[in-house]
Amino acid sequence: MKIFELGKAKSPWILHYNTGSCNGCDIELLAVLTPRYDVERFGMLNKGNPKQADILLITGPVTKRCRERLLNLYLQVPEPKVVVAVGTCSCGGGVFRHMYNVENGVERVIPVDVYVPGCAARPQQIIDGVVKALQILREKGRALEVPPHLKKIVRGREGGIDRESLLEDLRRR
Amino acid sequence: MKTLLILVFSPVIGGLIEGAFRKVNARMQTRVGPPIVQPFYDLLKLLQKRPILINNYHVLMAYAHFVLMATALATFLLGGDLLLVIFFHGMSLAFLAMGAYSLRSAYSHVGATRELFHILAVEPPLLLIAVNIYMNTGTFLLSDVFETQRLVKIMPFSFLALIASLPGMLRRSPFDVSEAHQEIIGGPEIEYSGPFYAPIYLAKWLEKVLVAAFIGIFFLGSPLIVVAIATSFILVLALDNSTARLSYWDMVKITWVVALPLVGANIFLNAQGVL
Repeated sequence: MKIFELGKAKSPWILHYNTGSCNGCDIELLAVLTPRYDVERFGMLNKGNPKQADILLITGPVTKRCRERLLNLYLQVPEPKVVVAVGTCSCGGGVFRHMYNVENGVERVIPVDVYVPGCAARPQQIIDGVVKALQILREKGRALEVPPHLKKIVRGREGGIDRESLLEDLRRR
Repeated sequence: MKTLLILVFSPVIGGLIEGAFRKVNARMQTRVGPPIVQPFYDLLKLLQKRPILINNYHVLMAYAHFVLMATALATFLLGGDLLLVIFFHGMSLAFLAMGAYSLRSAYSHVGATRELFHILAVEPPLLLIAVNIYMNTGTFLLSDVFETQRLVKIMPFSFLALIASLPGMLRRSPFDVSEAHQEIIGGPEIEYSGPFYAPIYLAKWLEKVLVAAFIGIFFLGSPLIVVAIATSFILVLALDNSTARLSYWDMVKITWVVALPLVGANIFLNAQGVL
């Protein structure tokens, strides 16, 4: 049904998570909500609640303290969902790449659909990235979406995390 | 037949009111704002999300909240008892709080407690307004109340009391304590997701129609009825954009100190035959 697809693409609610970013991208992200750029005209709301979100906007290079929380948030977002990595850091580590305390980007922990590079990513770029994400969101269904490397970490239909095997998996990589 | 038609279309009207709220709110902040049909897109989206069930009771309470809100609105529009409408409305909010208490989630619990204070703040002024309506019309039955003309002329202070409790009823600043998106991220509704959030989202629309109908009682038979409802809503939005959130106890205190004496004064003046 066309109208259902329209509903999916017209009402993306956002969850913003900072995985150790310098706050540059976060400020640009907040600028997106201000009168100058006003993403609410596309129906976007910054919900701050993973259970009611459709799009995960992630900034920062994913510090090792953050990865478990990032994964937890990702699994709490009900499908269909889309992940947007905002900023150079989240796209591959940026200036923090290969440091002892970071994971070199979001894609190492959860699958990323859209990359928005830039240090910091400009509001126009972020809007562009989210609009691209909407195209992907339109095609996704409500089936449980678990990335291959997380298959044995996620427990059951509810998508809870088996913490022991998660930590083991992260230690191994 | 006419009322039945209104009843069927009231969710549609509620959705449009909700959309208009968001649009006007955005315009007040010099933003463009979402299209006016945005709430319908949101609802369609919510119905398509993967259901994540936390416990059965939690979900049951979401539906109970919706069903009782719909019952309150139906009782109102079909000309039932005004007291019943207010009690159904209060019960519906209580179910929301009960659902939120059924979880082990801190924000949910804080929100549920605040929701109970929200009931405590909003229901007494409504009940007293109902009493005042009874004084002037001799009945709680809305089908008979609908026969009266321009109640606002003999109950101006009661109308002001209703306006004073409007920000609370519509969960807008300074009285948006139970929802408080920046603080407890939706309060009682935080753990609802996807199709289970949809009934709560729909109940919000119905509540807006109920509030609009409540304002409408005061302007029956007047051509200004729509203008009055729209002006009250815009007033609430202006207040929402110009004030910060108060604590839940301040909400109870201010609503009672402002609204209850106003209705009391109106009841007194009606009894003395001044108005």
